[in-house]
Amino acid sequence: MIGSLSHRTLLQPRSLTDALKMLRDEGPLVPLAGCTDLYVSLNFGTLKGTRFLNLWGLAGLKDISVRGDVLSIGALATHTDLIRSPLVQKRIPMLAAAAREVGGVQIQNRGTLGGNVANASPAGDTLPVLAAADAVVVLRSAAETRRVPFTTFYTGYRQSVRRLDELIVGFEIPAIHGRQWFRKVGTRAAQAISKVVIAGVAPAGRAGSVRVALGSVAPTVVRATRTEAALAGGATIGDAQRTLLEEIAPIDDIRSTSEYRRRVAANLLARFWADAHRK
Amino acid sequence: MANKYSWPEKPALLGTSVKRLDGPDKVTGRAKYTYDINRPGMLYGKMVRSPLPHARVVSIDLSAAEKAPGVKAVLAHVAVGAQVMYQGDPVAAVAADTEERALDAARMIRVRYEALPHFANVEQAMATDAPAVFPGGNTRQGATEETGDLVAGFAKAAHIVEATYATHVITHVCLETHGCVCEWDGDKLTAWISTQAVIQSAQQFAQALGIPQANVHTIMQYMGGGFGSKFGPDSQGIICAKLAKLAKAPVKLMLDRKEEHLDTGNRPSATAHIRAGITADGMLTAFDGQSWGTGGAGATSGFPLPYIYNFPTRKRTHKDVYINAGQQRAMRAPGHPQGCFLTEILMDELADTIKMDPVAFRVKNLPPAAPNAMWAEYFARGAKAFGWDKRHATGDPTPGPIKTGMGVSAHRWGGAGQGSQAHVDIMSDGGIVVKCGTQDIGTGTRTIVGMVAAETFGLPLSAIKVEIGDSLLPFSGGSGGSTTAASAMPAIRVTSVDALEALFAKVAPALGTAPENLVAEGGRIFIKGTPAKGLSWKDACKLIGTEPISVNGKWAQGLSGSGTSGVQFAEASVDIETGIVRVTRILAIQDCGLIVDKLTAESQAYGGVIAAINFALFEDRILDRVTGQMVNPNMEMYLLAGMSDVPKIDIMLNNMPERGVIGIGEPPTVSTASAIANAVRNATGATIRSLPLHPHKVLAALEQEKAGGTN
Ligand SMILES: Cc1cc2nc3c(=O)[nH]c(=O)nc-3n(C[C@H](O)[C@H](O)[C@H](O)COP(=O)(O)OP(=O)(O)OC[C@H]3O[C@@H](n4cnc5c(N)ncnc54)[C@H](O)[C@@H]3O)c2cc1C
Repeated sequence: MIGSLSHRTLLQPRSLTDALKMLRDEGPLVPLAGCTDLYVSLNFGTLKGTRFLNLWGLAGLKDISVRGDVLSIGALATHTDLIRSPLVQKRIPMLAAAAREVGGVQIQNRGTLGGNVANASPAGDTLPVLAAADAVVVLRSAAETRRVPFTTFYTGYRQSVRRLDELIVGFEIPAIHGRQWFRKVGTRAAQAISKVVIAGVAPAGRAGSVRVALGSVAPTVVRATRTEAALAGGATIGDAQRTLLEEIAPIDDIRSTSEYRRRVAANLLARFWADAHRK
Repeated sequence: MANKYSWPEKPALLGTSVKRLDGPDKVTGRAKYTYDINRPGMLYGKMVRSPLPHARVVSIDLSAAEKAPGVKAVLAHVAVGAQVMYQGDPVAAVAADTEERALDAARMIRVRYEALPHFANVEQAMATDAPAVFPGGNTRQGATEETGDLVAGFAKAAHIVEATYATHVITHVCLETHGCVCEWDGDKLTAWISTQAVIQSAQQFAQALGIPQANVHTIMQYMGGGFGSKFGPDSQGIICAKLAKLAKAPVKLMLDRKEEHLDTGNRPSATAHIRAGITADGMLTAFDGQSWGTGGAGATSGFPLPYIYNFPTRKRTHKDVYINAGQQRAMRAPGHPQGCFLTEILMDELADTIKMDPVAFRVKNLPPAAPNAMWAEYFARGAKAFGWDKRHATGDPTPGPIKTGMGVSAHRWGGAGQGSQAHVDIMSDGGIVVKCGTQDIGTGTRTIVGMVAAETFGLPLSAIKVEIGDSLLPFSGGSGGSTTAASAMPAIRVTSVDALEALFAKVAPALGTAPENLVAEGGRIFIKGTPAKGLSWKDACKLIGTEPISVNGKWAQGLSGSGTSGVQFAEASVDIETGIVRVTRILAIQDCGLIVDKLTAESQAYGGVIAAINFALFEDRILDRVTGQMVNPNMEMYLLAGMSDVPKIDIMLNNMPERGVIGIGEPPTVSTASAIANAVRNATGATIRSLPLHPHKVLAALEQEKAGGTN
């Protein structure tokens, strides 16, 4: 049954500093950005928190900019912001591609990159992209700022290194060399949670390294480093597929079966590699 | 025999594309659906339902809920000791001053259950060691239907196909959920109710509440879908009325999505083990099918089998299997999508045994052509329009992961109707009110009622005020079985013609002629053949005087017909790396007798096709095989097509005015899933004998095909 709304409170910070202080002094608080995931939990009756911290008004966290060679994306950038940003389109088109596949237009207008990452669903569409991009998660508390490589951000199913007094404030993405590739497999054309989602980078000429990351095939997003090494080392695609199947551990759930996810992950690895080598 | 009521030979409006009368009201939000009805002092009702698929109710404690803030009424719906037979079986209810408080109070109702053995699927219910869960048995074996000498039939066969085919359970997923707003005035009840049967709902309220039907007034002006699941107040309506009585205030009780999936009906599953034979030159010889299916807890699951095609010898048995799930209700062409799928997939397999074109094979085995059996013509017309000659043999030879194929399927339906009554008033200012106790369940009934009257009076549609959807209006039946148009349109025609005659009688003396010489056309009443000798509608009506023309009438024979046929073609592509099926094109050929509004008739076909794409590719009610609970009682994991999943759909309606009006609401949804599945088979060479065509199933079938099958 839908969760109760009574006895829940919302704190309204006026600035990031304000928000971080509230987290420190009035916690535990559940941060709330676009609320697209939180509302789903509310409707399922699984929303645990009773006190919420509204980040939506913190406009400073929406910035998308380049400093030096690094693309910085604020945690509150919405999927629509990502799709529309010329910087994202130019430097990390696979992120724009992923954002374009999130939900429908309404969800893209509300849902944020920070929320997608913090929600920590293994099916989050932007997660494989951030993993393949060697992104860095910028965490901030009232006391300090921490930079955590995205590939070490998650510690288990729906668990991360983020502390309760910290917010994700943004992501830093170094320059990516090579051809970027993204593919989401969902039952219908839009508004479908991924059965398998995969992002890849293939070296173009001598620039860049092979990168492969997948979602919905393990408790957390997987950066398939052994598969990458196999491909980089000139292994046959069959051998690379076998390596990939050792690196992932999908489950049966309501959206799909383990068997299906394994087949599709292997098929898409081959598709990625074939597309990357098409002239 | 043509008579004064016959449909006009050269209609001005009928058969043209007319936009819905209420379209602007709907898109601007002025149209009030049941959900939108709010009454002064209104409370909100919430039901408590069994979380278990089968249990005995040990105790019900309402005391905490009774004391909860804002609560005005609490009731137990079942007695202690009673059994609940499915997850979602109603147990108790509350009414409170806000929705949130009603929810909170519902959570405070403490029900203790003693769990009893249950069945979550037909395999469990059919197991030889299954416990006795349903009184009178867990299954019910139907009679055997047999025609001809089956042994001789199979002896004639050059090839025999033997396999098991199946369709799954889906729910109605009405976008407006079931429910009503009930308000009492003493012992008189007014109910705004989302229903396909406004007058019958009044009757059912009266029966269940033990009050005279004359004391019940039901209203349904706009509805967000019913598809066969909304023929009365159901438990939620009766509970709503009882809560309103207890609380002495109006109560709104609309179900949520989960309740909708659990307790407002579904399409039963269907499985059949079939053996069928054909001769070397493609004549069907024999059909032997044992079928079973489940319509939930104690409900039937019948469907026609074999469907359409002429098997000269055949035998069929059917068994209803009861499981602990909400009961089935009629769903858009009940039984036909199941029987159609089971037969049509078999037909393609049979055709392939002799490498015969599926269209040619079907045409060869049709029953004789008739006005209600036009398949041969539709197959030919459709094949041409669809580009069937470009269809490759089974298995798309194109390189790359995307394989494309074409499939075809045929269907039939009844669509007759009768029994409606109507009332027409013509006022001296020229105004016209047409009244009929039918309802517009989203199909466009309001518009076609107006069109038939406007046609008869020679006026534009805007001249007619249509009143429907209210139990105080002249009798009409529930909107089920595609009967509404065939039932209501004749009544409107007869009553309008009689009203016009009455007007002619008033006008004739002024024009110096006899009434039978008059015609009404183009907004004027004039002497037939001499349009100049006449009056405008307005001036003619001035002659009516103080007492308006007020005429009752009813359905008459000869203006409606029965029996429709249709054929559909589908093109689908399959990504063999992901198993994802995309429907790329549908062509639907359909007749429905005399077309009243071409636009709303086509809309029914579009809607039927899209609903069947959902049936084929997306929808699936999944019950946990251990707990018996539905695991996807929402719209996140119970999927429907989104706009980008809807292909190009072409509708070809065959207008047959000589047959009178016949319904079209159901037939267009019958064939689509079968045609899609046959297209997938044609694309990939893999035969998938059950729905839905979910990617994991498609991919597994492809792997199997690669491993052992032939291409
Ligand atoms: C209909 C629908 C369709 C969807 N489709 C998709 C889809 O296709 N692909 C997909 O990946 N997702 C999908 N989602 C999920 C969701 O929209 C995304 O995950 C979105 O990016 C979440 O962002 P949000 O801002 O709405 O998060 P919120 O709901 O506000 O928050 C989500 C979680 O993150 C935490 N959080 C949010 N921001 C921060 C922050 N800055 N720091 C720390 N914690 C934070 C919150 O406390 C909460 O636990 C869908 C959701 C819906 C309702």
